[in-house]
Amino acid sequence: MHAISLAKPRGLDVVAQRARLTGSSLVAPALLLVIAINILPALYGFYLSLHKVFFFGNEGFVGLGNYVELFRDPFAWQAIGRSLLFTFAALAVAVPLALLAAIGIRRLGRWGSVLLTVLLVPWAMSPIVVALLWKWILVPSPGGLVGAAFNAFGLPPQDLLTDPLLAMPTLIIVAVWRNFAFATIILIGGLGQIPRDLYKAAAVDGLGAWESFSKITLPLLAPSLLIVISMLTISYFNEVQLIIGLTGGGPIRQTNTLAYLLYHTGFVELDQGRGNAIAAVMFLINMGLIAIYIRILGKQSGAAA
Amino acid sequence: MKILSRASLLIACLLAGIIALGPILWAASTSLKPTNRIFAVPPEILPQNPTLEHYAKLLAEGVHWAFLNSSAYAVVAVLVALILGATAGYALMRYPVAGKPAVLLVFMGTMAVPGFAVLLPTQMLATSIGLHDTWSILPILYAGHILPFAVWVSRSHFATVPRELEQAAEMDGYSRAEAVWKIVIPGAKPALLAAATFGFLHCWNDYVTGSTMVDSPELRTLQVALIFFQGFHGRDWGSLMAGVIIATIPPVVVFLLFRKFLIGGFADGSVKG
Amino acid sequence: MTQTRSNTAQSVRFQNVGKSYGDGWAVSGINISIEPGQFVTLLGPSGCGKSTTLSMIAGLETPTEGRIMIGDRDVTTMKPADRDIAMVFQSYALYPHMTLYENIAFPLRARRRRTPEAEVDRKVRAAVKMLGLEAMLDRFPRQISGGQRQRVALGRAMVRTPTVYLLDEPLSNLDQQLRVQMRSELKDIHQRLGATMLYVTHDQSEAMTLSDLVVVMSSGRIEQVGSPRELYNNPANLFVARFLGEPGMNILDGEALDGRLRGPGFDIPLPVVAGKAGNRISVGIRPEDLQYAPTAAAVIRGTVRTVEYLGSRSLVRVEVGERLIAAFLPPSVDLPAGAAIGLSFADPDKARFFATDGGASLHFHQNFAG
Repeated sequence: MHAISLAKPRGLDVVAQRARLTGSSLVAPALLLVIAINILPALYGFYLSLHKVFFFGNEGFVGLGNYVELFRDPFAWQAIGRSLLFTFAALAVAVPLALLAAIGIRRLGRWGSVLLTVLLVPWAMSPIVVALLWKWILVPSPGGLVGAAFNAFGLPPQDLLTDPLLAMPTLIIVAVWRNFAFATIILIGGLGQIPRDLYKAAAVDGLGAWESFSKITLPLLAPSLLIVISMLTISYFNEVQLIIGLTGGGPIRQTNTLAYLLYHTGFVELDQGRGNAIAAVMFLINMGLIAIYIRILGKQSGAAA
Repeated sequence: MKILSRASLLIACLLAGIIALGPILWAASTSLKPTNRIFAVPPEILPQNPTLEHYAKLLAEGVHWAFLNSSAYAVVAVLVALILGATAGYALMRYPVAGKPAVLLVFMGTMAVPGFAVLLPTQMLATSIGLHDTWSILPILYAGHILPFAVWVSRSHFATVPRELEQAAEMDGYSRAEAVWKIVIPGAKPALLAAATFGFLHCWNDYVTGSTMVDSPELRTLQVALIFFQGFHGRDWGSLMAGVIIATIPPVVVFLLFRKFLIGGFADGSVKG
Repeated sequence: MTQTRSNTAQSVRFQNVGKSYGDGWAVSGINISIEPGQFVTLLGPSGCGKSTTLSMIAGLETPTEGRIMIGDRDVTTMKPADRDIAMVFQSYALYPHMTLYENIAFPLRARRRRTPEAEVDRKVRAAVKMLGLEAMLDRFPRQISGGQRQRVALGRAMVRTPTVYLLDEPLSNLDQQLRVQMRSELKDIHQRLGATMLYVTHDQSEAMTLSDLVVVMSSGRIEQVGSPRELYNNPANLFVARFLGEPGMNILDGEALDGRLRGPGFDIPLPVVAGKAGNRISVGIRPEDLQYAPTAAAVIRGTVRTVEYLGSRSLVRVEVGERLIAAFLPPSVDLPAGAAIGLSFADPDKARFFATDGGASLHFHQNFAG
């Protein structure tokens, strides 16, 4: 063995450090933009919520004053109630509908994908445009679609959007019409992962259609259902564009959800201190929902890996 | 029994199809009717004397400028988000990154935060740094909204491209960046297209961000322009429905073009969002 | 095919190379010298460090210490792209979105090579002709069989006339029949190209049939380097003796006394006095070098455990002391399990002796005439 002067290769540390530097600098632009657009405003909003801010003018620190006022306001509590009602009622309609559609579409085979595409068209539309469209469909006149239907039954056309009892259900139907099919996609995926042999085994074991649905489909679909429910919860809880377009929070605050209250207080009344207090409350509720969501997703990807 | 259930299934499907598309077709029909036929009793399902007068009116009011604004904002935002997102997603998969768990949590958490929850402070912040009511504010915000999703999709889909393919490309004489561009990106193309479609729909369909971040008429998005139009013209349903159709065509066309990737991605559970 | 014949083949030298991942050495003390045009195999059980060694010459891993030379170039820390080497991966690593033609042309189209398209085409066609892939150039990797993918991977390596070919278990994903066929094709290609090839496998029959030189590795170290014949006939230590051969060399441990080696169930002459009486020595003998012996002539006595009839011969497992040894005997020897059996050496010169402690072969000692 002849003597060799060993060139000292880059040590382990140097190589690892360089990779770390490269990795971090590749992530940095995206991370900075996300922090600037999503996280910084949240912090700034919290700061503003501690001040009296009106029409873009900061009139000084008020501590938790905005929050105290907000929680003393019965209308704010009413808005929270309306939000819960809207969110959970829409969920209660959308999830079974999406499940039904998913099962039907899987049965249909090739035509199923056509139907899924058709059902998804409303989801591809803008909520504000959907609101305009439904305003026309609901127009209280015998010349409108719904009006004509009332007419056919010999009833005078009703204005569903200004009826205190019917405005909320109408809003919910439109919201579900727009986006339930998106949940269907995920449920179709979930159904596809249930081994077909299980149904054969269940049939051999003498389970009926309902039993095999409740004892095989539902439990095995639970992960997908959880994803769908958490996604829809966040989406309905923050729905504001449909409300702006359809009811403007009315009639007599029946559709005045927390999201709409935030919009109205912050962007219409320009009471930005209080608006930011509402935003902070909404943000916290969202974070709670998201924490649940991440746990579910995390468990999912953990199980998949 | 089997035939019966098959038939009832088909009827249910037809009904579902009508419920989904009926309102849109009704809007299309209305937009083609002369104003004096719009409130006809009973309603005319198909326009008897179709006319394009409502579309002409919208064009005269400059709807095409708003249309161009919306398109430009969406395209720029999607490109920025895809480039930054793919870069970050790749690094998060293949490289050690300082504080990786926290970084992942930031992307995962913000992916779910609706932009609306922080819209008010965003408006205040944009106003105080002079970005409010400028050309750049909407593409920046839109890109920020869809970026976490782009990062997430890139990361999980780049991981499905075997590391050996990259190594092979490097040994074939390509740089790491070239290997990513020629091998990894094409391998993850379906997922990236799904993310791009999703992002485009988000941008195009936004109203609240557009209506609160820009005031100048020449910067308005199509959605905002439509609501202003409604404000001025109230119950001119023919023109409003023409606007609805104009605003609906791009997202629906994009959706139809890329539905394969979108539905495929979400259905196999790989594009979770 | 003279235009594809390599005049670019270069030597490869590992100089005291080691790789540590922080928690101990994955490989260390690697010294290998490969001449241009040699076919060299890194052979060892999984986890022995052969793939790490290959990754270091490929540039996919950087050595923690030592130096790797290709020709006159020190490539220790060079990027993979700069080394001018080609690698065939176990998974073939064909680019799924490219046709076979595009896959094979891919290295030539790298910016650094600036190959004119006419030349790309000429080289790709020459390679596919050699590999018999002409009919399927427009297909995608998913549309062809495993053996064809294997050929495409080779073609992609060949078109660049690299200085060194690296092959990482390239045959392990093929079924048995195809593996044997590709093995001889590979040998043929190596001879026609005259290229330096470094091959990693855990399959000793591949190593033995293909290689000019075999590097046997275990636990991150080189056990022996030599031609297949040298390794088989003269293993440097007990590991190599047991690892090579199917089944491996039989090993019996005994004690030297008065020019003989004795242990439970055997008593054999030692060729030359190996050290002092009382030395613990192991004798190794290949199963084919044992023969059936009448009890009087037997040097090994034991009990038959199993007999596997193989047609031309039988593989007989015999319990000797506490060891189980194997012998290939004529098929006519038909003994039931449990029968007593005597064995002798067909050619006493083929017996190999090792120090029981440490396992080193005694034949490499100069004062041991073996």
